[in-house]
Amino acid sequence: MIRTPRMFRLMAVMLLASGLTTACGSNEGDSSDAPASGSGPSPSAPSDSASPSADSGKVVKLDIIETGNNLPPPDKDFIKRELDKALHTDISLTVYASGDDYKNQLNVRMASGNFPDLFMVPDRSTLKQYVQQGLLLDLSPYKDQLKAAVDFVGEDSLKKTSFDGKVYAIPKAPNIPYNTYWIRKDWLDKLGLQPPQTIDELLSTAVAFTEQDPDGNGKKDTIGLTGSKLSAFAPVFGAFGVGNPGDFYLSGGKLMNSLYEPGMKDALAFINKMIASGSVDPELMANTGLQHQEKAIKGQAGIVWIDWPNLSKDQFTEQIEKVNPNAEWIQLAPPKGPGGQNDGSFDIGGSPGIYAIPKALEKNEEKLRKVFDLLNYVSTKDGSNLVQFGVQGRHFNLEGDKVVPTDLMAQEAGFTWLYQFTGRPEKSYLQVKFEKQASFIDFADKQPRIQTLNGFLMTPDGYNAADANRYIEEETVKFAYGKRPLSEYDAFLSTLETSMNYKSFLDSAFQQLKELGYGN
Amino acid sequence: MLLPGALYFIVFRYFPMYGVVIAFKDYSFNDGILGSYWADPWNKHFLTFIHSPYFGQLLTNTLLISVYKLLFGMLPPILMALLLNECRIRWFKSLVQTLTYMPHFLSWVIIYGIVLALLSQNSGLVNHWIEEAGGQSIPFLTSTTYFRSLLVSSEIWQNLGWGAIIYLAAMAGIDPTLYEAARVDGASRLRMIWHITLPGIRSVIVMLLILRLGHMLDAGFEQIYIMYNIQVYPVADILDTWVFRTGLQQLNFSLASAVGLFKAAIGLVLVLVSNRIAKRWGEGIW
Repeated sequence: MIRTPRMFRLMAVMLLASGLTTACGSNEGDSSDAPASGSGPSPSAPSDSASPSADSGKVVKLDIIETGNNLPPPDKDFIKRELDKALHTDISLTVYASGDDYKNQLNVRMASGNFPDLFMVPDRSTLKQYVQQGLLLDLSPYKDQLKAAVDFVGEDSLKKTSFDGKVYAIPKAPNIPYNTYWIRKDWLDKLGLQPPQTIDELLSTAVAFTEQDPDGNGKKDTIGLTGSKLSAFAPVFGAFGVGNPGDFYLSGGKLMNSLYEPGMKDALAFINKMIASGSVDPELMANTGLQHQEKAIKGQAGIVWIDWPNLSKDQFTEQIEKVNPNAEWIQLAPPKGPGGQNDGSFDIGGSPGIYAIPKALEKNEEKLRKVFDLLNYVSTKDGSNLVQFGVQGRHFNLEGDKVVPTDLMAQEAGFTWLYQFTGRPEKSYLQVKFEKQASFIDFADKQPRIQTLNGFLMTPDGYNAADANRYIEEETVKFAYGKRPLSEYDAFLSTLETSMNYKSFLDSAFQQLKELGYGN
Repeated sequence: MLLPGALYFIVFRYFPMYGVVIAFKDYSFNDGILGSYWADPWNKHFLTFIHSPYFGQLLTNTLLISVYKLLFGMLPPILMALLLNECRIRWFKSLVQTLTYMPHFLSWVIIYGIVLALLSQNSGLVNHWIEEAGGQSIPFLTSTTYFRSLLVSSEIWQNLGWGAIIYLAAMAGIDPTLYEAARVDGASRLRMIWHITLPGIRSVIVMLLILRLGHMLDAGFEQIYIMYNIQVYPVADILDTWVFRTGLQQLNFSLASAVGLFKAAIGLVLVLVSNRIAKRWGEGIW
């Protein structure tokens, strides 16, 4: 067997150190957010409500695990204190910074029967595996007791976590897309260029950024476009009207897989042209974590595909200014192409998080009751405000129904999203918490995107997703880098269907989606 | 006196081995190791592994990377130990020794950071020099041509000083009268190294070689997992990284242990065979 990945914790810390301390992954799916400035709570937390268990009733200990970061120690964690006080619990939340690490930890705990009382499930495939293993509590009979939580996330979104009509987990309320292209306005000005509006202009701008020394240091040391792996071209795929390789979506009322769209070949041909021009980050495929953000902040790249928090939050604007006081990043609407204009794709089947309860809790009614209480509490007004904004009177004040933040909110309440087990009303939340970034949030939300359905899918038995995904990624990268001629595209598809068993996945995926009412 | 040691091995090493049966079962968390159903057919998970389109590539990569590491990684620590052994300036010797075995304590993440700073295509030091000298930058990290060399050389760099320690210890154990006698006979330093030092550590070299052979199918999971990317998968994807993606991340523990068992079986055969051969030369470990 493989050696225990103690390394991974270290690795996660290292690789993600720059970015993840800010709580924002580079994926659209990552809904995490972070303090606008200065992470962690201030040490001067109030001490008036120090003993939560002093009231009455029996205190129940709840063990909760999820991915996340920047959780303060329990004695400074005012959300824990308030929740404990309201619910007579002793909540012990553990968060893991790296998704891979979390997956492993969770699998090990499940395998050893050391179940947490409430935990995040990484994705729908894992959910399915847990359901098949009989590890999860069927929540259908308890719907009444979970009414507040169900109402909060919307009865409809429960189908993301249902199998055979039974609900096995609570998905967080859906969020909004964060990613767009960002471009250096000052570089454009210096070279006398306008923001690119078509993909051809995108290419010529990227080339100009590479060749014409936009930072004026006399050296040819800048690159046009960067991002994390192939996702850096999401808007280019969008401009050809297709999703990222392997995406499922509705196109003209018909269910489609992006690999089988004629536009996919054209998109790959265009991406190949961009890469051949030498204006794309040569290490695009090796950018893990937030290395592309680093390249953007350091002034090495002029266009980057990234989410707004990672370029516009105060801590990053400060860094950008330190490197170059004249640097100015602006968002770019998706460039137009033959297939229209789409800022990549957005998975409507995905959820920012799925939370499940182990079947083992069925026999422990008292504990189960408390978990339900917790889920309901963070879904109703008082609790929801608490996990969104912090403590009333300290971090925010209510004027009628309007939440007015205090200065302390930005300083102390950055981690509260860790307790948003049922999510949050995304837009109103972000606008209170990120007032300065409101225009960026709005911009990213308004861009047209292809609505993909992959989040609803489960892999059929006998289909090795790891092998197939590798093959898809590997070969599309080869096409994009001109290592394999596009004339072999059909051969690629047939190998994928036969050797990789993708056909069985396609058939099953279409069937699953039809059952959910997509396409016909 | 043997008891505590034997007990340790029985409780922590041999007893847990019964868990290996899940390689032949459809392991389910709920049913546990003994309660899970037997796989049908019994070698189902082995077949999944062998029938993976990447099986051949995985095995080739694993063996090649392992053999390269063994071949190229064998000599440098011995040379290092010889040089240190001959060094008569004590403070210099300990300085060099400390500096060279420090990397052993660095995690691969940090080493990858150093590699990145040196070899990155647009910001790396080496490529910077190449470009200053009028050359074309080289994609060390994303090209299939350089990746294995990168793996092997970074591994050698990491283990150079550490590997030398054990040889140094062996050299310290050589009877000094041998050197005195040689000196009286007028042998040069090189002669003494060749005829006394090297034969003196021969058994240690053979022993380490045999032990390494047992790990032939461990090509260094942590290192590769951190350093590889999709563009170098064809030369870098090894059994362990595949197991991590396919077995552990997809909750298929039976598959993971089937591959583990497969690796252990091959490792055992290699150790037995190499010990046989070594014995013929009069050096086996048992």
